[in-house]
Amino acid sequence: MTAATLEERTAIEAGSPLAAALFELYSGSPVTVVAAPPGGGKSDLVARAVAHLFAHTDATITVATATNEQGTAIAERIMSEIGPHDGPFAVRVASGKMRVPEGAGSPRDKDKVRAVQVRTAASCKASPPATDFLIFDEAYQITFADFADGADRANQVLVVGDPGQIGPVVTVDTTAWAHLRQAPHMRAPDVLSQREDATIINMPATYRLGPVTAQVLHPLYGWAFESRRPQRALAQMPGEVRTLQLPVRETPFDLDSMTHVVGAAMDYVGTTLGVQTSAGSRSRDLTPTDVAIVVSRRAQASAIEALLLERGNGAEDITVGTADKLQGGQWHAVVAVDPTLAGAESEHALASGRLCVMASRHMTHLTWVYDDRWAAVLAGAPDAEDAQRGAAVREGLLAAGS
Amino acid sequence: MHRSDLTEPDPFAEYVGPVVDAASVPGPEPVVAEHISEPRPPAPADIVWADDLGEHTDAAQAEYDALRRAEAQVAGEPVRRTHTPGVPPAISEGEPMPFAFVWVDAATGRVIYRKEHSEPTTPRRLGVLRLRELIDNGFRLVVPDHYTAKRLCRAAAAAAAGDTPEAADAARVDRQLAVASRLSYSISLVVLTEVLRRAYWLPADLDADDPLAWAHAFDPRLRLAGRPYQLMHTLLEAASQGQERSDATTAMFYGELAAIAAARHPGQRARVAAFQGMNRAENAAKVWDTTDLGLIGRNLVTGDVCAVEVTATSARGFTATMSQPFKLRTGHRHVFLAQRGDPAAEAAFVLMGVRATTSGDLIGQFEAVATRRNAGPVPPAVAVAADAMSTGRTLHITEEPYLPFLRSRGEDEEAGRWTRGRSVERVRPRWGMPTDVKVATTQHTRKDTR
Repeated sequence: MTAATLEERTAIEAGSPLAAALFELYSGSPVTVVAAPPGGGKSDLVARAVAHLFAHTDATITVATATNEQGTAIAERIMSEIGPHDGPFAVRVASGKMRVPEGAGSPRDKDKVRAVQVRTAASCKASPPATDFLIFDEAYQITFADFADGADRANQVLVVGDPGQIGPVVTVDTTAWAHLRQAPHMRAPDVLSQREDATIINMPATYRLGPVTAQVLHPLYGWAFESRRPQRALAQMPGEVRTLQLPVRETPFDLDSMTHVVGAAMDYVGTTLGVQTSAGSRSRDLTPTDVAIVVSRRAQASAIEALLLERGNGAEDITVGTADKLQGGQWHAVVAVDPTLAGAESEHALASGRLCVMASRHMTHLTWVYDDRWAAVLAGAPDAEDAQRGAAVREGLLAAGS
Repeated sequence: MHRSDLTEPDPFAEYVGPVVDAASVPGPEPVVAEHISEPRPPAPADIVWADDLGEHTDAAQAEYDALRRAEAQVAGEPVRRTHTPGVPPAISEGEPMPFAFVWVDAATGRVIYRKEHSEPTTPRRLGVLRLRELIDNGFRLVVPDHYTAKRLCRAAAAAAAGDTPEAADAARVDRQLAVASRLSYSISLVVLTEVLRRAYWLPADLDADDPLAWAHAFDPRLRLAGRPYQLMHTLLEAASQGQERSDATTAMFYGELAAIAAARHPGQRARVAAFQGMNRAENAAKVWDTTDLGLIGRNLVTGDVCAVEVTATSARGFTATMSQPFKLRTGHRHVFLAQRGDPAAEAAFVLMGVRATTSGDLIGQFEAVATRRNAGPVPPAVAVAADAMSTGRTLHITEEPYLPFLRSRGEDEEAGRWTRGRSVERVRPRWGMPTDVKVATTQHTRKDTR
């Protein structure tokens, strides 16, 4: 068997979002926005688009990410797509604090070698790269202001991201621009989508979530997407979602509540995961590393970590974190704690982006933990439209879990 | 002092001559700080644990503030709250930035102003053109309270919306005031009651929104009612006392300067530049607050500062129990809070991880960062931790201040590719359309042409 050529490896499916994005880039479109649902294959699209451009043009290509960790991850994916390469390296990490994957060029390497540059959006902002193509991964985590500064010397931009994710943290009082449809603090793709020269491509499927969850999350997205996930299920817990209602307690990190959350996570350990693909079916037992608990507050995470440590026997290997921290990760089984637990009604608790992240980390099964205050909390939310979307998702989760 | 009311007539009638302020001639008696208590180091009781706090830090902070103000009431005078000043200092290397005091004249209801150290000493009516001139010439506007600041902003907005020759100037002033009034600590627009609130705990029984109450609290012998300029000057003096923190102050200053300069212009490009300047100023303001030694107790409530008790040291780092809540992040650099000159102020370390014990304690693992400046055999963070362990001293840590780079746009005409309009020219590619892409592009969603 001979090794596949780069052209063969970068072959694209007819009618795919990748084909559409590449068509726009090769035709000279200044702005292409690709919006994806959770698990929609964003990184795959970015890596394959970059590899294709690298193989078929002599263009300078820069990939920008919101964080150093994302940069390292996408650099590895791109290198894998490009495959064996004649030069010293095909990908060069250009941000000082970004970990350099094996085989990639580092910031110390001369940039005379033609290579895809990977750097953070902050680094682009400080020193905008002169580049033919600037591709922003996880672009919904970047403000328009940072995009505008970072892309100042880019001929064409491709911004790829999940509009359901938590946006960038903005600490500036932006009320002066509240009446504007395009403002500096807004998420970059939201502003770019309004441009006359922008092309918008919506990815049509999720490869992580099952059909029930895809349907539940639909209110948070402006387009319909379907599940193309392989058929997966837990033998002892049918369906995709179960719900766990807690009594209303005084604080969202009440120890009894958190003990129930830990119990729900431990329920998953040892259950049998069955997967059916065209190649046949297989099964295995879930281990603690297959399970995550996603919460909205650090105090909840601290309490849960302590409880897991107390349990021992590998329970401490269950991943615990806030939605902001676990955004981007995926696990077979996830326990998610409603941010409105115990009647919390801060903006932090009410944002539908946080809800979306929490309800979309599972590949196979989700336990939704809530109490019956959520509807009252959302009824009093200042952003009624967003609260309505959040309510629709919660209703969907409860229906799916009943 | 007459407190302005937003329903009053528009104050921006142009200058028609000096407005006599009966008490404008005698020089002010600056308040001396010697009778003002210094901030005290946090007592163990200041360390509020998450379980006691609840998650509602706003409420917990309010409770903490109320406690401090009650203490000030017992003391019978304002108690120093911060080590840094209430008023952010201007650090301009070029022309100095003098103050212009702006207030509402009690007799006429008009907005009037008087420059610091300059003739004439009689206040003048303030109009849009004069306000623009003051801002352009680097004057720092000082107003007594939020009501006056809001009145200025509202009047500028109203004048900008009008159909007068001054509308363009008013729009510019409106944008600049919009920036200054939205910063946590503005150099250009100083609201006295706000900056005093930052610097001192006012006794709980006094109204912190009332400038006269502040003056009375500092010195009941002062008779400043009806003498607005003297009152404002005195209060500004009190609010300006404190130790500077140069890196944050510099960032705050240049951030705001960039934002105010950008706000001279309309449009998306200027808004982006203003936002970035504000962002830098706000980051610096956050650093100003989290690293202020006077605010340690308050910052423990929010978790911006964490109290640690060192339990072990090694050649590379140390282990410590950590107070809750905390906002420290694993993998990030942190620093000790200490007076300048204290070795602890020179040390940096990374939080490697946190583990919980069955008794509910959180144990942090810290690794010292070696710097070129401190390239001795024992990293400074380890030396400080070892000393703290032997003496039983509680250390306070926070995330290392990060002041993002502010890109200078200057007069770069090329800048603003994505902010100059609703579209840019389509690029003429140097390459052809690959066949596989042409073949594969059977359908895609193209945005409707508008």
